Amino acid sequence: MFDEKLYREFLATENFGRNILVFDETDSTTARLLDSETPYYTVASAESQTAGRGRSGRRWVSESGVNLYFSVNLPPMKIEDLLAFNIAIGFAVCDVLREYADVNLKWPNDIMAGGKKLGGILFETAISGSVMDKVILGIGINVNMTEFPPEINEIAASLKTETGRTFSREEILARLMNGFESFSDLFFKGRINIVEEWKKYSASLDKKIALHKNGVKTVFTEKGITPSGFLIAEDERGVKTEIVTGDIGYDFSG
Amino acid sequence: MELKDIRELIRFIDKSEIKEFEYETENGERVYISKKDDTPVFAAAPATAYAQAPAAPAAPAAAPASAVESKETGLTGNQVEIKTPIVGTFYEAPSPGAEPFIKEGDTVKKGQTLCIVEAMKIMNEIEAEFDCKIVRKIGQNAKPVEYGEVIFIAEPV
Repeated sequence: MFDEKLYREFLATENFGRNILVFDETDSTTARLLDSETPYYTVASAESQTAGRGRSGRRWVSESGVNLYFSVNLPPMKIEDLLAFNIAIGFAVCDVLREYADVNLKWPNDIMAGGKKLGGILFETAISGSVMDKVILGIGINVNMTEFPPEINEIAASLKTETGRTFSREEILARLMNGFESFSDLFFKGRINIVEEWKKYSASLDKKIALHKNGVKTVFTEKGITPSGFLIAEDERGVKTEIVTGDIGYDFSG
Repeated sequence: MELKDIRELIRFIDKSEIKEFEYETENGERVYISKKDDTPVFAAAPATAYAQAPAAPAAPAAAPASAVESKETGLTGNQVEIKTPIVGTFYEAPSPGAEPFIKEGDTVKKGQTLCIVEAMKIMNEIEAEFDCKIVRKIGQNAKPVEYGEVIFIAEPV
């Protein structure tokens, strides 16, 4: 069970994660924060999630008490800032996890280790008109999980499978909060150049990536990101395309 | 209209003096391109007339552009267009196979979720700005929507 006292021993923030809600099991920690009024920087953490969401509603496989599933209620920000922050927050997660294992990012913000997925980041917002009411940052990290369901066994990793060590989830969560606080301060002061930083974190810069669109797989070379966070993909003829979203899938398997 | 055509169009408009461009085909395809913001494809929507005055159903009619738009979209009475503030993929339900957030004819409360527009894995719940009845659902599930595209027609209640 999550040890809140231990978590607080590692926590060194003024705001991030000072207020924590721990659920034994919940549908989704992000949904809990979207549906309630909590102070900004509140973190909601669950031992397991029954409806953890991935992109396009894909289920994030959840085992109790071994991984981190948490969400943070962030103050509203400009929509343009959120696009870049969506990328940049992956740098902050990597900075913390690189203390333990060799991790990098798959665009826009999957946490990868040895080509396998170790964690994911998913923002959810509530927008009314042009005003952002809520911004919830949701993160799942495989920490001590060693047995994966067969359908993801080949593509999933945890800190434990990568290092052979068992980790304190409380310590990692607290260190992430510490990292987020200093990092988001730098970000909102305009000190993070995501285009340059991306090169230090990308799992596939200058490597072949496959993009799926309407069931057709096309091979591109990853050429970094734009200031807005869009992926730059170059085809065989050297023509560059910016990938945003929509009908272009970005399941990289190349 | 093919994606490459749209890209061509964007390139052309980008080099021109044109600040805003709208094009509608016979089969109802609609393209809207605006250079009014620094971020061309994922810009915050300008505050709309009804955003400023949610309680006043007559407000949209006062906006200079809406008289023209009404003719184009066939809005009647006090109907208003609900536009997406972001580019992305329109989702009518919280997850595949789930019940849609709303159906045509539903009356929704201010703050109620109408749909999700996903961009770069960010799931944006688009909420009703005012109590209203959903007259038409324009956005199509899992289909891309451009910034400023009309996704619902609603009647304030």
